[in-house]
Amino acid sequence: MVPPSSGPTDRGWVMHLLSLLFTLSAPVWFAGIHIVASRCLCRSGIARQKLTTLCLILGIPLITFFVLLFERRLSAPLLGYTFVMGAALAHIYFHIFNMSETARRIKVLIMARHESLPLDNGCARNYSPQNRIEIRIQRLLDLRQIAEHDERLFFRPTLLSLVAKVMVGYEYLLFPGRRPI
Amino acid sequence: MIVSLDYAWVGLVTYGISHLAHIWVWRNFLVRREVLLLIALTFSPLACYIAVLVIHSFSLVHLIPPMALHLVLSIHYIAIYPAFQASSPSIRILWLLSRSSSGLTRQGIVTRLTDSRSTEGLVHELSRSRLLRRNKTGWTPTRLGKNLAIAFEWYRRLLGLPIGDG
Repeated sequence: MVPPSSGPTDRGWVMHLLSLLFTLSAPVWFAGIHIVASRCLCRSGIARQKLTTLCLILGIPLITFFVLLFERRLSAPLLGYTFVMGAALAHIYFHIFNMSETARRIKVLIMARHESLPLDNGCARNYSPQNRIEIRIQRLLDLRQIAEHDERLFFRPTLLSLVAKVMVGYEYLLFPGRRPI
Repeated sequence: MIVSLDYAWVGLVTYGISHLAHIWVWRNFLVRREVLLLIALTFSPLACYIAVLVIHSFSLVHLIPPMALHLVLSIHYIAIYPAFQASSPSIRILWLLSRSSSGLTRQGIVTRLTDSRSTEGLVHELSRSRLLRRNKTGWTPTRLGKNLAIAFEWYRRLLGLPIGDG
């Protein structure tokens, strides 16, 4: 079954192409919204990941709205397609931000750029595995993903904790040789 | 309708097939250059799309939506893959706490997780990825590593934030 070829017959083609390009460039628009929000609210005390998530939650319907404006029609497939593309691109942007915030390898790379890392693993003094875990515990407490009572840390049933279970399960599926801790 | 969404679902199917192939290869073979092979696996169906386009004169307007969907889902997975490959410590902390009803002390978590990855191991991984190189005095970034570090530093500067804690 070969659908008939249809060429660019009217200016609608340009609008469709623009709408697709607009969708694919969504991370740039997300970054724009995020930069403005981050600069305006940097002293508000809101957790950085939370602010990023809020910007993306605002950004996805905004992208969908503009695509519908370009297309000048409203249909369930178009809405669904744009939403799936927007959500995937939003998640890509979130991971880029998360890498800048939490990635150990990016941190080591930036440290190496500013001063050569000694061969005897000297950077471990400033960025030891213990430090890394402490930083993450504090970050999870700030994000209210875990709780602390009487110097003990407890699990909180949040969306991220559900994601953690799925991710550990998937990691075990991908790398069967690894054991979850 | 000039750009048709009739075949958009094909993008989900081709992505699903390449993802299953990725899982099968990773489970059954010792993969050395993970990112390169992952890119090759997830992007290979795009070659099939182009072949279909050329051989069957399939209309481009029908192929653009599934191709774009496949491309975006592939990039999405490649972006999140390092979290699985490097065993994200935050995810491990959450998982560890979810299995302990009486909770854990900070020291308990640190003891269980610190042996997972030394800084030296991270440096060697970056070296294998050609982002760091060894010289007489220590480890310095390659041109690619330097550009990557600069890109992230600029990005943080644009956001008005200090360099991440790692």
